Amino acid sequence: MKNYFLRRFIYSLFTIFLIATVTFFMMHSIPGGPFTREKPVPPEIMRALNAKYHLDDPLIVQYFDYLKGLVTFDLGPSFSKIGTSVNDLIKAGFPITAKVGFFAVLLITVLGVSVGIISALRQNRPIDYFVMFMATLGVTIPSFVLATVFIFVFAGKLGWFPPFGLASPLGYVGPVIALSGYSLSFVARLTRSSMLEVLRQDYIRTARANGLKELSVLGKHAIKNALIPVVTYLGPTIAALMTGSFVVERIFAIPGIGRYFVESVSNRDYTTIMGVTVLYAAFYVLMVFLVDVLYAIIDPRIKFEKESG
Amino acid sequence: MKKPLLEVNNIKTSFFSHLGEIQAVRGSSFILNEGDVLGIVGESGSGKSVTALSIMGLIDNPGRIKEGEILFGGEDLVKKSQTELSEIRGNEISMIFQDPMTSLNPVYTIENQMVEVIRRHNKDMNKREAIAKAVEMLTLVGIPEPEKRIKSYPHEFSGGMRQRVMIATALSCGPRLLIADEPTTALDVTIQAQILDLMNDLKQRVNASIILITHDLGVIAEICDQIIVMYGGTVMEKGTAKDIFYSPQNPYTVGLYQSVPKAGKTGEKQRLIPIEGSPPDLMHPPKGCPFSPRCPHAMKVCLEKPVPMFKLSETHSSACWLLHKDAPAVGKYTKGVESVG
Repeated sequence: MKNYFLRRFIYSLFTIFLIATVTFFMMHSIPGGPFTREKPVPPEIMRALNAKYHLDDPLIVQYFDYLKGLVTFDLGPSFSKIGTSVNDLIKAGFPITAKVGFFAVLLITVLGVSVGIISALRQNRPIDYFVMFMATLGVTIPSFVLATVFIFVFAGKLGWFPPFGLASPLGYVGPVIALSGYSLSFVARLTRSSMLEVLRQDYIRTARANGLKELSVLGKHAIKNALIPVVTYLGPTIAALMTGSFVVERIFAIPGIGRYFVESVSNRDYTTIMGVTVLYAAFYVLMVFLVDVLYAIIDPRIKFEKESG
Repeated sequence: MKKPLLEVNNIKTSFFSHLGEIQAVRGSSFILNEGDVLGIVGESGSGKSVTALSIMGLIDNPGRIKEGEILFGGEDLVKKSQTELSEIRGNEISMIFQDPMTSLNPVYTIENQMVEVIRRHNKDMNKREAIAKAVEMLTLVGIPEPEKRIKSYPHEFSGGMRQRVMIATALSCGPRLLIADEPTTALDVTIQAQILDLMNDLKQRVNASIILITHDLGVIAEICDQIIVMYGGTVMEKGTAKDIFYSPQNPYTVGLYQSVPKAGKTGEKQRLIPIEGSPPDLMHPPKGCPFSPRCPHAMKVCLEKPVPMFKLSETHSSACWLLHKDAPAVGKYTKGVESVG
């Protein structure tokens, strides 16, 4: 068991290292650099800037310099926001993004799973049709449409929620809805179909044949089995939601890190690109690991490693 | 005289699909006496399992019991609510199923699953007592090292062992009736014999009546006192094992025997005689006898009029028009008896 965790940890570090490497070289192969402007910068200034940020070093040297920084958790200075480091950018933006993301994850898990279960138990009844209709809508409507409509109706026309910012707790409602719309619908559908599948299983019939109460048949015997595919989906989704969305943060004017995923690339802001990519990769790897651990807790047939290994 | 434990009277169970009503059981009646083993034989789709599930009250949507009564200890189970039935299920009537590989919940230990059932029906038992009871039951069904094995998950057991666990759980609350729905079908032959031996042995020890559902005539012959032959959702013939095996009075029963290979004299080639045709469409069941389209002796009346049960002796009756006093003599079929129903 201890060995397994250690091995997984090493694999995870290796994965993050690979992602960082690939991103680093891909990013440098894009024409232009952080100081390329429409109006040409005088060559001497360019040279001075490049020298200051060591962009004139051979690529391989820059790469090792970057890795050195990475191990000490120093992500380097930002090229587009002169004077601030990428660490500062993430420190300022990530807590905000993560907070919105956390509420979205909470909504998806609690509401998505329970709505899916209710829908399965009321299969082919009005409530099931309603839930499935909403879920289909939720999967097909893009987040920016959801966000814009929300602002137009609930912030503009009705004035119930602030149209942007997170100054009041009500400000979270819009971004959380826009951010979770797709996954919420997906989780509801996934839970429903998984639950229906499990309810057809022989062991559910056995549980009933043994006279167990319906509460135990569903709440104990069915749910644990039905949640296995949901857990699989939730892992990577949590990683994506906690690192934010460019679209949602932009529309609701949230000062998170979501926007850097796009802005940093168009600015050739090398260090920021690397920073957010590595952050996302680390999160993703962590979540996949947690999903694997959760699997083994839920399903005893899955072992951390072969017993006679 | 034995006391009847279970009395099934003209039960009709249908499934209402969007294509129409599927009449899975179309009026089956029988009586099970205390301490007896009743065998129900028939091919797939004959209504054996649906009859059993009707007794358990486990007919799922879109199915339901349309009419008839199931008297258990004098009370009609059809009239009971699911909550009332859940007090009886696993407690007074238990059931084991065909496929032990999928009948246990894969994510809980045997202990967890057995203790839950035991404590469900013995509310004054604490957890330790329930575990002790579970271990006792596992010992009874021949699980080696039960104290240790009880901590295992279902996937750590073989098919035969899982069926033993199912039997142990089913008997743990001392039921008066055990329904075994093809308990050996999914197991290989040597394990089948072991499970049957076990059931035969337990029959004496735990003092429960048993309904054994199977399509295997050999299995039935071994342990049953009473036998019911079902076809197309109805009872074709019922009687003691001796009645059914030594003087079958229904062309369908005879057809079943002829289609089973016999351990005959070595070297002697023996051709099996299949029953031609296929089972009836239960969405549009035949007007007359369900077996008439496949019956070699079918007469006009067989196709047109539902067959009553003809009583041949105190224990033996059969649903076949050939038994009517006006029917022509065919082979060895008895004739000249009065219809009883």
